[in-house]
Amino acid sequence: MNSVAPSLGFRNLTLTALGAGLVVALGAAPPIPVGLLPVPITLQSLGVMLAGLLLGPRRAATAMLVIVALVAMGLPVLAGGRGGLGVLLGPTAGYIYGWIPAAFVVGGLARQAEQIGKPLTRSLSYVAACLLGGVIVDHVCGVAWLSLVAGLDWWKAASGTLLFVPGDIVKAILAVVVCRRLETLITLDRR
Amino acid sequence: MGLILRLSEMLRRLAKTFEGPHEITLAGGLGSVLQSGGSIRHVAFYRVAPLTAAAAEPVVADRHLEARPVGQTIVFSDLHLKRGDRPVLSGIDLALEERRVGVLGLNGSGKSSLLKLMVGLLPPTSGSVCIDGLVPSVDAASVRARTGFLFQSADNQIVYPIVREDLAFGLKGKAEEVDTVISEALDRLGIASLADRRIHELSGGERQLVALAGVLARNPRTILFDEPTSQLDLANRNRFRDVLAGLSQQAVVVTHDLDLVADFDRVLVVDNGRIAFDGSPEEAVAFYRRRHG
Amino acid sequence: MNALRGKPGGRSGALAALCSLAGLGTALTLIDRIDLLAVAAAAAAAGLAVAHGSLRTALRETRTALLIIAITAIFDAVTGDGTSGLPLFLRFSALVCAAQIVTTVWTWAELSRALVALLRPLDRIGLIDAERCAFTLMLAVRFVPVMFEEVAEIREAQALRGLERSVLALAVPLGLRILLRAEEIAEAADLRAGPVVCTNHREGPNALVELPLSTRTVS
Repeated sequence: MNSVAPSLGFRNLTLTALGAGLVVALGAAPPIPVGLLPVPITLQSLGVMLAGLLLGPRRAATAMLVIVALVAMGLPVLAGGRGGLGVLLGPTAGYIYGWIPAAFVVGGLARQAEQIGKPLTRSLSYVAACLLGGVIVDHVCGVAWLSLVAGLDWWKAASGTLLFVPGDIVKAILAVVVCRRLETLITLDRR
Repeated sequence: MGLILRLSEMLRRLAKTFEGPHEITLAGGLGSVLQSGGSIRHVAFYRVAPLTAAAAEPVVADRHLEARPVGQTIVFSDLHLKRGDRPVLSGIDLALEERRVGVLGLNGSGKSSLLKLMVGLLPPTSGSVCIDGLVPSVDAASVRARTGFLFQSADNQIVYPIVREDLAFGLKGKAEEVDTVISEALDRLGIASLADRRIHELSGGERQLVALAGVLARNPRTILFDEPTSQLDLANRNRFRDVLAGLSQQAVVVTHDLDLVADFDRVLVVDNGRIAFDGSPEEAVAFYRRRHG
Repeated sequence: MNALRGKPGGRSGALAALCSLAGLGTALTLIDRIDLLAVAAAAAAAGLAVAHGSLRTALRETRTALLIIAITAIFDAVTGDGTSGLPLFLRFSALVCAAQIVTTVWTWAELSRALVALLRPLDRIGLIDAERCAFTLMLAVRFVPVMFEEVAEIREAQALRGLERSVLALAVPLGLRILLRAEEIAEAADLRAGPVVCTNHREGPNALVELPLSTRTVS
């Protein structure tokens, strides 16, 4: 994408805003059944991983911050049309706040991995990035919030979230496939 | 006692950090102000890193133009444009000053790049572009203040969710004056009733008019159109032709729509990065049909 | 549906509301007495019903959140000691209801303004640029509906080819369109960003035309 330097100032902002839009739009798409899993997967957290992979750490993390702001403003941007300050103060809020560091980690690791020449290694690195960021970091934040605010102790809270992990692994793989396909079409700027 | 005074002073200073010049939050502030029927007190403009020292000064749109002809002179001198190794435009030598200029060509012929060069969205690989003596990639602010650009996708040009807010983007001055400019631009296109509507509620044709109003509000001398009718249905296409006919600004229109350029002053045909034809609309259309018909 | 809309412009109180909410949240976390929590929860629920103008809509809005809270509380009660679930439930219910009141009473535009106002102290100390933040936020608000349209369009096109169940068939085109759109929006904004001063607009060659440029109606 050849653009003259002047539009760089706006480019960060538009990529960030549309990155948030990506997550919101994927949240609005109905859950898609995946053969291996008993339950259809919702696409919103896939959007978070994808945003990290495509936009790089800083823009992706900012995009997640924008989503938190949109939720705070009362707009129905979370999966299921949820929104409002109530969600941000409720028990599942940790998972939403967790998107910010999650996207940062995914983006940061992807940025390191983009130099890797061998395609399979690169793809696997991206998957690792998504798992580390999108799954582990996000769940840690979700559980931390739950235990902190709800007074549940760590193990109880953590055990509840284990159910979601297989679905998240599938999402990570899908996100990486999407990213690799897009990389063949466009050079991604992950600054 | 002293402690209480210090505390209240601290609190007051803390409260001050939450206040601010109202001009900062254009969008949010405007949104709430609009809903209460209040008037715009300040209008923000977006600060972009200046390209040259000249760009740091806001450009006053030319007002004393009665004596001068409408429009600008656009000159290409031996211009070449490459994307990587691929040549996009080769050896373009043009001087455009007519009031209505059309540019025909297939997709990928380079015609859109011609427009983008004029406003500095692409830097020439070699050769030069001048608009009334100004070089777009250097004096971008001045060129862009006088030269409007309408993208093919109207959606991508509208940045604020409400029509009135978007029209105010980039406009500076007293609230009443900005208000007047916005109303005039909307009136001219017959869409004054849309002023407070949300963009996503509007149809494609309406959105394009809003985008055009945004360009008109800046009072340019020239407007560049990149395939304005390609995403419109027949009714909206006809409406656009009317609008274009009544526009007093100079217009350079890149299009596939052969009917649109029928009454233009000059029509170019671009083929594989070169100007294959340059002349009257009838001959240009005939040439185009022969080549690609 | 929203009984209390249309707060007067200017200081709409959204900022105060957000700060009060934060204060309430902190207070509730520190309180452990069930009777106080119960009062808070009841008051918040009543307030929400008033804000919505109807109990039914209030319940509908908060149904999901309350369900999650209830499950969490039950989980906690079952795995811990019996009554610890109740304060949890009351605390969260109060907070969620209070938060939803704020969401209902103030429009998104007012809340966005309040949010940016909250960021201004950080702007003062040079950590962030509040204008850019406000702009990005408004861009998101502007383009989220467009994203929905894109998704609908892509799914329709893919459904015709039998691919409506494929994540890749949705995500790849969507990702591509987003990246390309972001470029073009940035270019378009760049072209309009250079400030143009509005004065004496009626002079010059573009003086006001009496009639609109086309009498055809817009479709």
